[in-house]
Amino acid sequence: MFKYKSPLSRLLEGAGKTKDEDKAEPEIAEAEQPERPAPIADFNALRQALGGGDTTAETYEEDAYEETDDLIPEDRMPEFDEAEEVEETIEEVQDDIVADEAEGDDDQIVTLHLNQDAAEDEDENLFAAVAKATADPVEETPAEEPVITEAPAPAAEAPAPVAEEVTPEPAPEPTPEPEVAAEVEAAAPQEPAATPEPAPAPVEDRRSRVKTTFLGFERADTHVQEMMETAAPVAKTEAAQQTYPVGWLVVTGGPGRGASITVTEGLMQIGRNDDQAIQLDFGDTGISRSNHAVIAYDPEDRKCYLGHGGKANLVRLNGKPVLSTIALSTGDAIRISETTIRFTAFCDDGFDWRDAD
Amino acid sequence: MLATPAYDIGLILNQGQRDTQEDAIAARVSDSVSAAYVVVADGMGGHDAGEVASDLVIAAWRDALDAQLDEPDLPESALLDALPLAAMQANAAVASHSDEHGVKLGSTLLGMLMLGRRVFWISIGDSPLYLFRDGTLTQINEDHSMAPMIDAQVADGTLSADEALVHPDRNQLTSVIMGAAIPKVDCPEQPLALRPADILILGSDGLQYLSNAEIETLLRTHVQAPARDIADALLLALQAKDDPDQDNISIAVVKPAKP
Repeated sequence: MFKYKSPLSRLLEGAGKTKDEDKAEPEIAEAEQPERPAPIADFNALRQALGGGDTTAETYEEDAYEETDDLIPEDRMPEFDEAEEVEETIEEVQDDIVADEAEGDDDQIVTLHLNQDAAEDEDENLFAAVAKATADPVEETPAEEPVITEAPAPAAEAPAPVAEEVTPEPAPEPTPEPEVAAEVEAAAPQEPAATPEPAPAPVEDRRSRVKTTFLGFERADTHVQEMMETAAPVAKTEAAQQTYPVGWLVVTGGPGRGASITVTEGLMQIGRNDDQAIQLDFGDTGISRSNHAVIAYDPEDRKCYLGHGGKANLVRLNGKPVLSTIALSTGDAIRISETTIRFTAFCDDGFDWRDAD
Repeated sequence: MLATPAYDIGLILNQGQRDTQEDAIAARVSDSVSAAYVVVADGMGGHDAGEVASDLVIAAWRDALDAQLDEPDLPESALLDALPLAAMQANAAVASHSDEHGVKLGSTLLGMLMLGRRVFWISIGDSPLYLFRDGTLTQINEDHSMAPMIDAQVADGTLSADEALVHPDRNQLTSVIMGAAIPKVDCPEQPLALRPADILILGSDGLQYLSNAEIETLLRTHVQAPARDIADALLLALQAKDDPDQDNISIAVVKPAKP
């Protein structure tokens, strides 16, 4: 459960002890290799499973075929517009808020994650795009296809890896099948209007989302309503995946401005390479390829911590250089090279995935 | 033609009444880029430890800063990044020495870099950086010891001023370079803009056997003196106190050179 803590402290310790920066890089990379990639690899596997299981399995079970399609980008949607107008318009709003991703506009920032071209035809690629959009590099996307076709089984399976690989305790929450299914049903159409958060948390949010959606509709003639009626449909990037976020990072300055990344549990390395849990490959070459900095969530005090990667790489938190691990709080500005990232906490004193619902 | 130095710098290192010299101090003026640095390290850990720690810190600082200052086309951001990187290197050096020799050692770091009239610094620990401006002395870096908290208790009224001065935890450091996590670092992104009449004083806490008021008074009477004379005057004032417990003394006095 606290497995990732020791890698972090080891990493930082190792950083403190390596004298020569040229030597430090390979040494650290090799020494920690067995430790660090593990959580991230797990996350990828987990995401793949969730990407398929969560979005398809449960909706199939509930024989709501249309909702499966809801998770597919908007190109395919217009046929449902009459049938499910409410849900459609809400989704448009969400996409507007999250990131304006008009189809085919390859210049959009978010297209760095989302493969638009592919998204237009094949389901397989659609899910690949969806998986990528969660910010973690996922390379073996085809693996998701079987999950889609064999829908019922993953419903039970999908949450299980979460329990084993990432967070032991949240397991009980997603596993009750009927509940989750119901929530997916409820959450999928309703969450967008309520929360512009990129990563919905289906388990927790059913009630609040229902409520806030209501509020949204009471203010009928706000600009939101206007947007719903006039804005062009945009591709949906974030499926209702169970990423169990502990917080989010949004690039607010420098290359990649506007991109967002979900922070989950485990040791998340920040770097440019596509094996980095927090990949910042937007063109700022002042960011190291690997392990420029790290973020890890400590479930004990329910805070995310920021540490430097141990090389001759500077990270600043609110302008101050980070020389050891520092707790992050909402609104903090992390600067790496020319890139500024703002942190928002999700888990805090009021909520942790381990909490009973 | 020799360039006129942009800064007038005076340095003093004195052992005080202690058995070992655990302070270390260094400075460099680079006329080509109108830059200069002063670095003070106050080591702790006793014989074979404290003096090693402060030397390691100074060496790490010089490595990091000299490499940048010797670079012909120097990008300023790299030079400024050298401040925290020096601290990280120093911490790594202290960690490996501590591991190899099985000793506990630590040191403060007060490193100041001047680029033209802009003053940048990094400070970890309790070595003070003072600015004397318009007749007033102010400590401009953070004090990573318990002293500020104890003084706050005086302000609260929960502690008397006399109790505060002799408080046993007063010199307890809250951040230091000792090869472990560095909880606090003072390294402002925005530089101090130096004025022609300003005087900067860097020291180890041995200088603080003089009160701020005493230093201020002395500076008022020596404001026109060369940096070296001001440093001498501060040392004489400390020696006049004749404190049997006088700690190691590092003093650096920096004045922008007269045009």
